[in-house]
Amino acid sequence: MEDKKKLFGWLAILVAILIAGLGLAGVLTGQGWPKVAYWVAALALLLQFAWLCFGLFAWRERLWVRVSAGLIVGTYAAIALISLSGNWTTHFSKLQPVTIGFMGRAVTVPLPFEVSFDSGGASTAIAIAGIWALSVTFALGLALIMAALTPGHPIIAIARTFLHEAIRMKVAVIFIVLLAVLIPVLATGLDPKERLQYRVQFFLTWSVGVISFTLSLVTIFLTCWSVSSDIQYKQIFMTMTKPIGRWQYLLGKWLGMALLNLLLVTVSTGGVYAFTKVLQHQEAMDQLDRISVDEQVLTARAGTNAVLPKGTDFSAEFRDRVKQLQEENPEMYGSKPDELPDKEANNIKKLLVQRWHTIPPMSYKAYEFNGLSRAKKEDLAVHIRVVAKGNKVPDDGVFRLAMRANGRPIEVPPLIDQVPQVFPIPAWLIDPDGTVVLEVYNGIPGRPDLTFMTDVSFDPYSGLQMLYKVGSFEPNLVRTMTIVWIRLLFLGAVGITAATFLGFHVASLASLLVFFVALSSGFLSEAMTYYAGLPVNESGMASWDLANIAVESFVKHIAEGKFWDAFKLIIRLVGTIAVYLIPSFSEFDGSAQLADGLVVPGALVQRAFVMICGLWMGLCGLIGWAVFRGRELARVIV
Amino acid sequence: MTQALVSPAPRQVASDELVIKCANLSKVFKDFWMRNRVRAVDSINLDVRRGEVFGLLGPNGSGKSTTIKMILGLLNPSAGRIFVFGKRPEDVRTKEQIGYLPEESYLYRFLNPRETLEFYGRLFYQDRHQRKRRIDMLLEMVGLEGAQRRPVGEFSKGMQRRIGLAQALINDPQLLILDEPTSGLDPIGSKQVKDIIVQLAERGKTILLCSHLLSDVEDVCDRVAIMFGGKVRAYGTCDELLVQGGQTILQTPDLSPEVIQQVEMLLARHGSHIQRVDKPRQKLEDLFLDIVHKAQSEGAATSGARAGGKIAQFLVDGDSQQQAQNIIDSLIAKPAEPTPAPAPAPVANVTPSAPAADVQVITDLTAPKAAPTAKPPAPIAGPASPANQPAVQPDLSVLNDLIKPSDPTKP
Repeated sequence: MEDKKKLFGWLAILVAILIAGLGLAGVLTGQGWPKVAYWVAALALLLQFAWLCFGLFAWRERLWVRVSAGLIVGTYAAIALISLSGNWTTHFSKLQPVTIGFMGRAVTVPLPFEVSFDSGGASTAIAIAGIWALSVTFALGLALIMAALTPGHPIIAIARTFLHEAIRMKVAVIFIVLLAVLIPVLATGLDPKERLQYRVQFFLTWSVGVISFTLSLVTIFLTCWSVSSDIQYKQIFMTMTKPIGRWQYLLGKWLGMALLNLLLVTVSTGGVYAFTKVLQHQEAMDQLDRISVDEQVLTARAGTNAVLPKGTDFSAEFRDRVKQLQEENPEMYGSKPDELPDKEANNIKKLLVQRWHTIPPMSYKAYEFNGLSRAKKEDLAVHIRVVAKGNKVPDDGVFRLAMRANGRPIEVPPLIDQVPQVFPIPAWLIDPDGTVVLEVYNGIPGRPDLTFMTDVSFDPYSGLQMLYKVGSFEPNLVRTMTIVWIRLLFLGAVGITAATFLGFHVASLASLLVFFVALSSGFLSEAMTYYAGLPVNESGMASWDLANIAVESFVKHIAEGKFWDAFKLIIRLVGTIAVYLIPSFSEFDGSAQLADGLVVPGALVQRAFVMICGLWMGLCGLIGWAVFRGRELARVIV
Repeated sequence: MTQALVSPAPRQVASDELVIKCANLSKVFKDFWMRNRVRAVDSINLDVRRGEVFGLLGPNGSGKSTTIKMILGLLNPSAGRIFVFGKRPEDVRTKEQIGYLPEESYLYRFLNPRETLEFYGRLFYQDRHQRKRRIDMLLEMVGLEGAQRRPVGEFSKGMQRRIGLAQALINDPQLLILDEPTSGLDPIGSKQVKDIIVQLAERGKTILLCSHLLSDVEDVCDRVAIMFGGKVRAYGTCDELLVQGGQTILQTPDLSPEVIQQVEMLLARHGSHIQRVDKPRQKLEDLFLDIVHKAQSEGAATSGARAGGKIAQFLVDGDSQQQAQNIIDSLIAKPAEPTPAPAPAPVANVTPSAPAADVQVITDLTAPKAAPTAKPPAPIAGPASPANQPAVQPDLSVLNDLIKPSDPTKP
């Protein structure tokens, strides 16, 4: 009780110093003695600072005091650094009378952001302000979560202790600090001579990537440590002899991890957003650069792919090709059209589609795009996105194409080999039913002398697209980061499950393995296709057939004494199982779309939620529970 | 008249209701290849009745802790059955009534005492109000309210023990399982723990005490089981196991040599004689407690644990109103207050050797009023508490073994 009285007394004096100093300084300024007012304010500031320190020292054992002390010291340090970086006095003096600004900053929360936005030169100040803002947001968010975790329930107790552990375990804090430093530094450290569009894209790609990677490591280490150390250092003896079920223990750990990651992802999303805005307001190289940033990057556009124009028919070409093949090799391709194996039919179709997307020099092809009626109606900006690829590449690396949309010529910039290029077409060109027929000519019409003689092709899925705005950057960013969070939830579950039966080191290695397989799943499965000398499984071959072949060749290798080849088959089996069992993160990733200004569909988030959170994580949780519920916790396994 | 010579009125112990029942309980630890490696517990039968203090004794590696861990569901028995409150140990609901203090306090180093107790309180579904009330009392009881904001990792072993004790009591348990409760504690702490055990037992709580410190067990336990090599070697009440027939100890105020001579003559008439005449020394424990209490009353500062306060109120009145306070206070001795300065009235120990001295002799001898003592000496007149168990002839050679800790791996 007495303690509380003392505390309130201390607070009252602090406020009194503040009000008295501020009031007196205000009065003196009003009387036309600004210099005296300045010194009065400075004195009050010093006094108030001393009193603050005294109070923080007196109540240093309390958590909230330590937190506020951290915040205040951090704030002072941020101000000091910002002022050292130069821009402080000029900007602040513009905003407020010197004295009040001085007092206001010293006592309460200063607003370093006021200092920064308008100048590219103040990047250090921006970075420091950003680090400050991220840390403060994190501290406040954590306090909020802790307040929410007050009720008396075992799951909540475990979750809360997990958060305590995460914050007080220094390794996690180092990662979090790394994040708080990296985001601002990434944003402000970019070369200002680079085009703004590329800077923004670079920042978006890298910051989302770094956040995702860093938090994945934090999640894995924390969950593995939290569960395995409980078992190793026997805290679990005291926990599990209370009325708490094994599943509640695991769920509590997972909940703590989920909340911590929610906080960290939210704070970093705020950081990415703020610094994207900072970047956006920096000077663009030219008008086109400005438009690119606003309409091609910081937006959410949907793309539509070309469909075969009406009247185009591949069936004749298909029949010709089949006939040709069957004549060449009847044993392999059969002798009648319906005897052709599915696999070969697919190959031919693929080939024809690719051929349709290839334009020989000095000729043109037409592609039809549908579903643009909304863009037409609302007069939205529509862009063509082209990734051109040549058989040969000109010396300057640039292809020149000409295009007509619905019969009208449009301006096409030079296209760099394999680099995405986006350029606008006017919305009024679109037919009322939302159709655009795009004719693409390889070369400069009428100037064969300037045309580089090579085939130009596009990837059938993403090489040639019509893009139109369907949303804005902000929800897109939120959806991207939600997917990041969902992936972290899965990794957390993996870490917890691994630690139910493995020690810290092995558990974190195993979880890291899962993480890396999930990251590189696409690449791995492709690499696996060509490993160990099995026939390449093009579409059409049942995996059962492949398994049969694999077993046959395994037996053959053993019989022939080629043990290494047999072993490679085992490696492939393990790899294939891993790729099947572990979800592919590349399927659930919005960062590429985000940086390209493409919409990250809500459906992708939903799918990520259902597949990763529902299916994979559920499976993982079940394994963890099955292992943990039967485990003898006091059993020491050496 | 003879009140100084008998132990305090035996507690109203032991309904026949069993709190713990172990039947043919065995635990075999296997190695990685599933080969039997250690038979830690070997077909033991144990019954702990409601309201008694049961001591599980044995040297290191005798299977005490393994038994306790099976009772708590931390290990699964290899054979046999366990019932705790009539349910299997895996049943989570049994834990609501159990308080457990492991052989070491396995605490989270990064939490402070208050956060630690908050954590355990939440595990018992206690709301904020209830947690605060109980934690305040418990911290005062174990003498850590001054250190409640320091991380537990900074604490000495004894201070951690105190938090361990506090967390074991946070749910007002009906069954308290204490594994080496006094290890690492200073004499004040261990005396307090013993006091708490006695007081809780008076409140009808059941206590299973596991220790190899024989004096701890002897001071507080109603019944004991002595384990060695995973087997129960002796089992029964303390009196059944400890009273030596054929001797009587008399304790009187200081006697002059003439009186002693008269006593000797009197005894000679009854065919007996005095074996030993002694002046008792103050126990080192009492001296120690006295010094510490004196220093505390002089206000000497310490950064460590203080002597604990009185037992937490909710433990004795079931967390109900404060009104019962007065009654309770009158029932409970306050361990925090300094014990009366020792300077004991001169007392002579007279040990006659006659088998079963005549009651008339005792009446003659105790004519001057006997001074009350703090600790009851060993009771004289046969088993004082009712023998609930068929008397077991204890194998006392085991006790001798116990004094020298033997190699646990060789049963």
